[in-house]
Amino acid sequence: MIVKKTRILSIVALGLFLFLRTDPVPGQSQSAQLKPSHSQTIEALDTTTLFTEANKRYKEDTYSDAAQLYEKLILSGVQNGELYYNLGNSYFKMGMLGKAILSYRLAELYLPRDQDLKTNLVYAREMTKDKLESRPLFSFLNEFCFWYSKLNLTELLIVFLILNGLCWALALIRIFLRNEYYNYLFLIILSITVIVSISLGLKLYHHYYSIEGVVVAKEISVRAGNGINNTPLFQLHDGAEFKIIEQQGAWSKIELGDGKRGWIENRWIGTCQLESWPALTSSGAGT
Amino acid sequence: MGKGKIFLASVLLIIQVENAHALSLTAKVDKTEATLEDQIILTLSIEGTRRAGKPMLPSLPDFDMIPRGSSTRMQIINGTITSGIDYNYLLIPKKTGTFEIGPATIQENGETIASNTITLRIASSGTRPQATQDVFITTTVSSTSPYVNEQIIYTFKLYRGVKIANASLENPSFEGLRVEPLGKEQEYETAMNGRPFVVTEIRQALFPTREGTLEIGSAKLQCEIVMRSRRRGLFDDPFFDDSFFGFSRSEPKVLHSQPITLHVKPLPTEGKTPLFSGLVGNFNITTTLSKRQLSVGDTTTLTFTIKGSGNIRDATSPEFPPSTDFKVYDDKPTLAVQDSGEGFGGTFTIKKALVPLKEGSLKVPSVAFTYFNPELGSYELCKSTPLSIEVLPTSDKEKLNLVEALGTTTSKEEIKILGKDILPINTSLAALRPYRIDPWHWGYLVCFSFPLIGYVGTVLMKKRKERLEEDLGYARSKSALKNFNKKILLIKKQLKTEGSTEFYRLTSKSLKDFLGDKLNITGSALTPLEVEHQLLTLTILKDKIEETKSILHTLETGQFAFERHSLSEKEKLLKQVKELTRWLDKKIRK
Repeated sequence: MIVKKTRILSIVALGLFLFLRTDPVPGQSQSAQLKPSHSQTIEALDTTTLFTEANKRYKEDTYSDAAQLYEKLILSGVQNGELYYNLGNSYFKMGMLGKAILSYRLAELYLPRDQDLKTNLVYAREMTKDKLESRPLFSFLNEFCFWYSKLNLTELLIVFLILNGLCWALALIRIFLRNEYYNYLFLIILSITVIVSISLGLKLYHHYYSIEGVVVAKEISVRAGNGINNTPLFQLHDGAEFKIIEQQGAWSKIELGDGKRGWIENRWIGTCQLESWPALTSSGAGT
Repeated sequence: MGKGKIFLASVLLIIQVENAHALSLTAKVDKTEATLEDQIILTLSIEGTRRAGKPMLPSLPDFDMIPRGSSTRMQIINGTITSGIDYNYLLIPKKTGTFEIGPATIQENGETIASNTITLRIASSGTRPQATQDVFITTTVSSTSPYVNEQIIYTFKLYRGVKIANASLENPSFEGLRVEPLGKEQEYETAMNGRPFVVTEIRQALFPTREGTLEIGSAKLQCEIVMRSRRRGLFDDPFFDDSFFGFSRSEPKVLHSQPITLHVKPLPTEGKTPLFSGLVGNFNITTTLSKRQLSVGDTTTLTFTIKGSGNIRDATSPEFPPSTDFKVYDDKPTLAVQDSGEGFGGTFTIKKALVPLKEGSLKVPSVAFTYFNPELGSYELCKSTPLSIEVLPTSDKEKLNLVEALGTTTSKEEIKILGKDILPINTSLAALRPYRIDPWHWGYLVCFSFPLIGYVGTVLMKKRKERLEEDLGYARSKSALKNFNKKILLIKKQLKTEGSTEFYRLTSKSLKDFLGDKLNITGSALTPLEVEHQLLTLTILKDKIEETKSILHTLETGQFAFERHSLSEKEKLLKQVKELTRWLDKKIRK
């Protein structure tokens, strides 16, 4: 029996170790440990050298080189908010507002509390041509549920797991120690856990189903149908943000904040989804 | 005849009578001789109708005429009914002399009906000495021959020896003069020829705007003098003097002051220089610096304060000499007026932000201006005291721009946005640490389910423990195999003992005890038949029941029938017992 218990504990401990194991030390080659998220094959480069070089190019005002190197780093698997932020800055300096906003939006998924990022995103949005309205539901959530806007998905998930553990632990304590105090504490923690779990559900929905996009071309026509022959309804410019509600082949049906809808070609837009960027290689004027 | 018919007949009769009488218009006044201080009540009475229009009066340029309403009347005297309407007017004389009022006219059925004329004699009010009057006003000026822009004090005084009501003052038109009020009106008591008077004094500062002769017209005060009624009766108390209670009557009065003539002198040309600021009066200048020691690019505030009495509103900033040592930023000058006390004056404050452009001991240029002093009759020079500041070298020359944007240190301004740009990139190597957002990672599932499993496991264990404590049958069933395994060790020792029945006895007892524990009955007394009966109730396979019976039979035979088994047979039998007990342990659950 003792042997059996020890075996179970070992398995659990191993699982936790694998889950909580530290990330590779910066400077180590990532290619051996982390497979690239995208299909591209990238030469195994020392990430520190690559990063230092990218920063150097940025400071030398060769922003396109810097952007390429940051993209390379992201494609090599080093995905984090800081790199997306640097990539956004490089695009901004290149005058590519759409790509800059897209990069900032992706960085925001990792770094929701970063003030520098917010400042740059606001500034980039100010520079865009199209006046767009924000979505009321998410504006409300951002304003009143600080944990929703201030924590990224992983952080919110960890908070939920801690609360979940706490909740079950209190449920156990209630069984062994019959005390009113523990009952109240349990109810409070349970309520918080429920609220956080709803927030987590909304965040997951937002991440995976409520996909938003950004125009990465100078000017594009939004059409009535998913084909080039359909009537152009309105035009959007570089950096315009919208919600993607349907995708068919190379076309996406989009909706603006004020309810305007139409179809747009996928090659002129970028989606604010993890591991979706950088994937586009083309930019320029749309039709 | 009903009452209604009588009333109708009366009304018709009145109309008949009214129509029958001819219209007439009469003008009358309450007095035909008056002074400039008096008011005359003119009444125009129309006789013969109550529905006539308003009579027309010829223009009366020598009077102020104020309508005072109308009243209708009807009289029945000795069966003769007369009716009419009275229009009342208040006439306020403007000058002395003899005037003819009227005739007033009225139009009726195309006819013009004229009134009589009235002759009024208006005499001057100055015929009586002031001290003997109940109420009088005076106006004075501090100087009748001032310079242009020199301050003179105009004082209005109302003396009243009796109670007055509804007083209203009409100031003269101060043409050619700028007027500045000097504080609130003051009220004090004084005595003239042994008679007490209450004096209300109003002071104003006047500044002649042009040279020559200027006339200050007479001030006019309208009031009502409250006169005590002679019949007081029970209410002999000053409280009831008010006309509100009807124990006093009021007499309207208009009081005029004497006009004043000013001979305004021009400012002398002698001594007048380009430095003349336009100020006339008595002024001085002071200079202060907010910081005497600062760095290059830092800022200090230079404050000039011009203070004095006179036409301070005309003050302008004296010219600040150009300097290569400083950058100078002007602030908006402020004026604080002092309108109480003896005269009009105030403080004119000029602030300048100075930014030194070089280090060392720098002299702040002084400013100068002249003003005209009317008391001395000459121009006076006002010069600020020269100041110096110690300027230290700066470590950051770019601060100079910052100071320009902020302006002066004394007044806070909105931050000026000089430019916009994005904030810089992250260069820390911490930016290379991968951060995975993967909510579907198995680790999260483990972390999520671990507390749940722990909870369920603990609850089950607790329940089991409780049942073991409370349910003896359950406890015996659960410990049956454990107890049997303990006895196996003893049985194994007896295996090799030749000719001993102990092996069979112990094994039989152990098996029976096991079955007793599992079935929660006394095991040692069980017979194979009883075992069969008990196992049948638990729906145990027939083969296994037969096997159990067979084993029990073999073991009992071994004890009593002296049937001997070899060692291997005993081992086989023991193995068979062990397997049977394990199988039964799984099958029999309580």
